[in-house]
Amino acid sequence: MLLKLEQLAVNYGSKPVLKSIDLSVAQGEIYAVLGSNGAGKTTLFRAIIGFIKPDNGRIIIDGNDSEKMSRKELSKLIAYVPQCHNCTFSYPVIDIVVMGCNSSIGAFGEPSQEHYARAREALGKLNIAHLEKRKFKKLSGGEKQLVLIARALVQRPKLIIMDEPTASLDFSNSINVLTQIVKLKSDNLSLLVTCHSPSQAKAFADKVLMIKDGKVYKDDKVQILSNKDVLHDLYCIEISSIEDSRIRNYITETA
Amino acid sequence: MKKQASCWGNSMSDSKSRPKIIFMYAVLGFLILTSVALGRYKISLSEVLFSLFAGGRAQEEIPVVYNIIFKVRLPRILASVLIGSALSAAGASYQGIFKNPMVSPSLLGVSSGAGFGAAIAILLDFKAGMIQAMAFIFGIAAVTIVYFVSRFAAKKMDRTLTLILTGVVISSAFTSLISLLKYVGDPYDDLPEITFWLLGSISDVSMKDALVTAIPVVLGLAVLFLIRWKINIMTLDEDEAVSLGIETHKLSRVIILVSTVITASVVSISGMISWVGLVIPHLARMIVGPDYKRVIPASFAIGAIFMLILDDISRVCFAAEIPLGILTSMIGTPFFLYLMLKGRKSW
Repeated sequence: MLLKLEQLAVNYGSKPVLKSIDLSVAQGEIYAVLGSNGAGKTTLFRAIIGFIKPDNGRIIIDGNDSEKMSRKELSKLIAYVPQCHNCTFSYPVIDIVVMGCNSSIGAFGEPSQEHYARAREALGKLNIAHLEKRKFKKLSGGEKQLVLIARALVQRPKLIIMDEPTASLDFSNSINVLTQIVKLKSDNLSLLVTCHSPSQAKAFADKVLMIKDGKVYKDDKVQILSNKDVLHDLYCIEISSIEDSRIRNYITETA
Repeated sequence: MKKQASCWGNSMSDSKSRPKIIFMYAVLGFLILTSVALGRYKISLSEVLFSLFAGGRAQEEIPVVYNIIFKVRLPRILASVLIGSALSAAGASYQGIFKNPMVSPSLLGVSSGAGFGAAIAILLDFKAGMIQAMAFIFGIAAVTIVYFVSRFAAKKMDRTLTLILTGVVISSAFTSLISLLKYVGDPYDDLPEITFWLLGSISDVSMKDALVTAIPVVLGLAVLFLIRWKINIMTLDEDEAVSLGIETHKLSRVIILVSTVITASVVSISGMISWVGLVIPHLARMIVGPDYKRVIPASFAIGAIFMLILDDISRVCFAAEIPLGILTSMIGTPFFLYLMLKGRKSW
């Protein structure tokens, strides 16, 4: 297993946010993480990347206990694509992407020509090489997400964690970003992706982790999303489902 | 085969900015030489070069010129270069780690703490050396208080925000204490001296003061130069920086420590010099772009050039010398308004 969570618990002060989460993600597996707002999805991701220290339980990554790993070691295995990226200064895209090389740069170092080449290769892979010199702040929401995915690829990780990559994107940008996510499967990368739409999750994921009130509600194959009673329990709303296999085909055909 | 990173970086922006940064340092060198010649006592450029490079011979042949250069002008020039470089580099670094282009090196209370230390020393009739030492110690003490109070307050809240808020509170407390000392001080003796110190001036700086200050400042600037690329990552949200492999708390501590030491060192010899640490990094970004690989060396040079020009104006253009703090405010305010009206394009 690439990632294994054992009885993971995180509290904010005295308030428990995650309670005894167990999860196993295999190499090359794509997990969608679903849950309503405040369910604990972002907290789960922050614990896995080492930003929040768990109050209980263990995170095993590639056979190593994450608590015993340095942040540099962790960043070589896990990359993180945040929901939104706040850029204080107006960096060009290439400078944002090359930051992904940090784990291979010494304390007093800076990116070499090889690192810039790696960054350009990642931009090319996502078909956004033309954005290299553009200011990140001036990009559209979809372009920004693709740039952040390129930065994650530059880290050459085994697992990429994406926090709602299609949030606040319009339809075409969502399709474009999801198409690129689906393409990453061919690199044998594992992905852990939160999203608010079960339909989107069905389009790209192999398995789904549903979190409710800080606990695992369901951990199953993505087909479980066809069961409207499960979604009704997860989101506490009445749901009607329309099944159409062409939705997934449509997404991949636009690649 | 992996190519080594050059001193100036490897991106296309680096190669475009390289001539600009070299030009800045050439201007700085030229200004240092001309500043030695400038002043009420006329000294030719050939006398300047002779005094600087002939050593003992110049002291024997043109003793007056030699003494003016080495006892009056060079200490001020060295102090101006150190103050400009230190405040600009500390300001640029703080703007990076606090993810806020509006902050200056005095954010965490170093200037108000130093002012309080100097005011106590003046009230107790200490000599100039002790006033500098007290300013330095209280500047460091103020930031230390801010750091530990904020750590206690932060727990699992936003540490950066807590640090900034604590800095504002402690700065305000030290400013109140300075006002209290001015109020209780002798109005004919202590009050004008405290007020003049707070206005900022380097008219009394000796060569020994400048050289002693140069040691921590040069060491601190060297550290900031070495870690300058990592500061780029510190400008991102903390969870992103952590996921990229940065030990954010450790790096923040190093940058705060270094910035505090270099700021306290220069403030202790100059008094409060405002605006430099806020405005110069923006000017550097306008010229060389936002990458800290270039912003840090450009801030060193532009800060030094700015302070040198102001010191030259201060001692040459007016019958009575105007304190540097007043001049930096007079130029800094309209420049910052211009930046705001321009609409953050340079940030």
